[in-house]
Amino acid sequence: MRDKLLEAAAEAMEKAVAAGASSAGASTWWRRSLSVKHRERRIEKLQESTSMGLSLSVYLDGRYAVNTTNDLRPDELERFVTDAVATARYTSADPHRTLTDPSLYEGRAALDLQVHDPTTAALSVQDVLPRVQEAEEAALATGGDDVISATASGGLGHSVSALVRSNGFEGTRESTSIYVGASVTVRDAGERRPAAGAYASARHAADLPAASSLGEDGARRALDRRGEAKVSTRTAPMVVENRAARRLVGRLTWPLTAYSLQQRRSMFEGQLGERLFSRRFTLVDDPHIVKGLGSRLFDGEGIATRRRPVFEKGKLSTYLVDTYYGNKLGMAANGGGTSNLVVEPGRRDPSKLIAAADGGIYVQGFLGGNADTTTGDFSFGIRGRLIEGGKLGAPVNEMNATGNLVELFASFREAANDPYPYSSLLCPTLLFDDVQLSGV
Amino acid sequence: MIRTPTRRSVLKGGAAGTVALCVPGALATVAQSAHARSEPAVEPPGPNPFLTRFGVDATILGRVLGVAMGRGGDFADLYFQHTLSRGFALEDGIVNGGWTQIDLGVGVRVVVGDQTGYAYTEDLSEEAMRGAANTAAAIASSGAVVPPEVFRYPHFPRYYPVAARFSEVDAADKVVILEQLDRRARARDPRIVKASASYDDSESWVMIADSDGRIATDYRPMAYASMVCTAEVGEERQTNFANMSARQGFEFYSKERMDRMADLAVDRTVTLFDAVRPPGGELPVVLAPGSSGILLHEAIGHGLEADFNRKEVSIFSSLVGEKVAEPIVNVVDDATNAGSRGSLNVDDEGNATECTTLVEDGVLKGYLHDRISAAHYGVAPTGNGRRQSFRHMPLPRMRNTYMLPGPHTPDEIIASVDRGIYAETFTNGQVQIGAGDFTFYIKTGYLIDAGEITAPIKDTNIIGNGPDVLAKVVMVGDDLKLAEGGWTCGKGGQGVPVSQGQPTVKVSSIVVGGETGGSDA
Repeated sequence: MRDKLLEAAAEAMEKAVAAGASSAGASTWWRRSLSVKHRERRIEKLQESTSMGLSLSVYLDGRYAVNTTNDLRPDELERFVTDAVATARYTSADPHRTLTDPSLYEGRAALDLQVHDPTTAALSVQDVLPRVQEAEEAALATGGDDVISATASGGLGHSVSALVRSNGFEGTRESTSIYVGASVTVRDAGERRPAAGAYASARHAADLPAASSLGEDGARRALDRRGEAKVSTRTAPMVVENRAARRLVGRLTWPLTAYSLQQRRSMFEGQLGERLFSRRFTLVDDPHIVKGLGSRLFDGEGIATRRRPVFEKGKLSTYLVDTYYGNKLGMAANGGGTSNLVVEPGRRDPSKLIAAADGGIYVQGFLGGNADTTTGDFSFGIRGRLIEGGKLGAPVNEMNATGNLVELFASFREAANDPYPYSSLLCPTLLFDDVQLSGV
Repeated sequence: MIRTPTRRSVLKGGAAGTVALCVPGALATVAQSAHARSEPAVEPPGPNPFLTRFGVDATILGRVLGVAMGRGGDFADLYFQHTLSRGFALEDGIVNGGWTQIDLGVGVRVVVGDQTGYAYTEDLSEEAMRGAANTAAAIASSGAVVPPEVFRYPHFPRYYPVAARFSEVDAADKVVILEQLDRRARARDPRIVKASASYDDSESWVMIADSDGRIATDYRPMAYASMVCTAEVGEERQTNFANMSARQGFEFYSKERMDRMADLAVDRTVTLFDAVRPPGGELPVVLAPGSSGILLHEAIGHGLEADFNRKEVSIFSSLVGEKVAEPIVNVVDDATNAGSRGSLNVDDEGNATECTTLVEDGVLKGYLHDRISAAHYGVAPTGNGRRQSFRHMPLPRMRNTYMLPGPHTPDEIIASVDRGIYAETFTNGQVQIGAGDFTFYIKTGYLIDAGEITAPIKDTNIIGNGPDVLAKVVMVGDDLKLAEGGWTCGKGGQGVPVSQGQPTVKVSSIVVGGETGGSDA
């Protein structure tokens, strides 16, 4: 499949050049996926399919178009390539619109990232089903008579892709991923029906936790939401559970992109090398973690990936620079996206962080909200537990955390020792001080 | 990466402003709702252009449906889709990129009670379609059902007639729109240091053939434009945006509309220099007319999607027939608004659409159904079965969700608030179906002090509980507007275009994210 996709990508690229493109890039992909949902001890939804596609980037003396199709019939493909080149002709000549400097293709790490697991790739619905059933049974057993509905899910994907660029890049990759988990809705006072879930995903089926533990965890989280209520407005510590942290940490990377900087939409403009955050906060982009959900040897432009600190002891260490916006800014490209993001863990248990955050809120999930990455201003809905006497207390809802991202990470106090492994964001439980929390 | 499923639903999109869409015509269709049932029709003479487009005929469709029903099942359908999309982007004064996308495929669904088997193929050969049908058939395990040999072609009303098809418009005319937007924005305010704009259009040909012997077809256009501006004053920079979208042809991009969008993008950006964060806590909130219908989408719309109620996991599951709001509150979900982003001639299961009443005079009337839930409840489908594409199975989804006009004037509503906020533009919202807690994000608005609009505010999340907030809608204006923005609703990993609307509305109390004052913990 790798060879076939590589050949198809190269052929499309050559056709584009023959049709008038001065340079071009192409990618092709094949993907098989399946998923199953189980509810009331029978299959509720079953889905399985394979798909293919082609994406073609046309460069025509600074004019540019990117074109995608899944209609791979030979006649249609000819028309597609012609249209792609024609579309580029309507754009303006832009001297910054070039292929990546080929020197950045070099130095690809000689590593086996093990992101493709042949055993996982070969699994069928019948192989995934027992895990899903196990998750549902565990959820029902844990939730007991309080369960209104428990739905367990599982699924997998197997992808192969090829990338070529007319100035000398060629690469393929193959990966698998699999997930399982359960969502549970339980009875509560009045009409409220609190729901929660627990899921895990991994590259290799063998690395998933026991499905029963996910069913139990999902049910327990739903039961714990019973009786949730508003609490008073306060400025207080906020502890964010490891698996919930993406909503906060994920907002830090977009304003680091050359795109955001060049378009003047970054709260980090002119701050490279500055210490902006707490010295206790370190964030690393690590593309080479074995079996990592975000691991890769080259990025979408073909740039060979390297481990790079993003924030080192609070200091901004790198911007994320792609070819086009790097050209516009006069900055060397180093890869405009991130792979696995690792927040450096601390030494203590999450329970110690909770004990150190009395009167604060333990955040288990965010609900809505947004952040302005030009200014850093944010406001997020939160749900979680009150921290009372140094321990988790009553469940809290209808609360907003509001502030500025730079100030929030400047008031970061501590990371626990529990990085969440089933995500491309490997983040432990985090403790922030003096967060503005609005309730009643 | 595979996304883990979640029972949350998300509404993302852009803000739309206080300027009216061509709403009068759109709302006129409300009164004649629910009559748009499909009528049987004979096969039209000559080759059906949709059959030709997908390279199939009735014989092939019958054979593929035969494979789908080969192990039994209540029904099966084939969802054919061909979508052509294109766009251009402008940045730093030049059109610096174009794009095109072709998407073609068919999804095969087999339903047994509330169980669904699904598969799709992008290869429309009979062999590939039979393979997908065989995969979907795995959900069933009884005797084969005989497929239809003859198909009917039901007739549907047309809610989005198109004057100029995108595929027939010269791309040069599309590029010009972006250049006009750029000039307009830069001329409007000297503080603008960056402006970017995008033009995107899409047309889909959809054909649904089912085991009941129906073939439904629809041509679906979608127009979209957006503009992002950054302004600078000294060291301070602010960014904001505007977008507009509708199910219309190229005629959507009128100079008047595009000028208005550029003006909104600029004005919403520069207002942020003066904006403050509101005080945090419970406050009365007045919602400006238009995209504030996001309140309805989150507070009640999702909770009335029948799949959640069939499973009794919605906070509204046992409230049909109950009083849930003041008698001035009337809420509908309408597919029939002329040219509106959420409008549909026929849903993605081949069922006729309508204007569905959700709340009438404060009383909860019913749910939004797809075929599975309608069968479960023994009612007619409401035409809410929607899917993102042929890669997805349909679910009950909203279309254009809005509140009908009430008795109050906007001025008297604002004057009734001693201390609160006026919410004008929004970026996104989310709801937990079972607990009923929902949020929406206010990008810009104003403080209200002693009945007067005062300082601008920004970046504030609102959080409340659906039934609780609905009961606190104490004033409803006479100034209904539909959102003009490009809103997309997410559920179960599928995004579908929607719209929403509302008159000026007052909620007596809701939790506002904001400044909390000093440390007290």
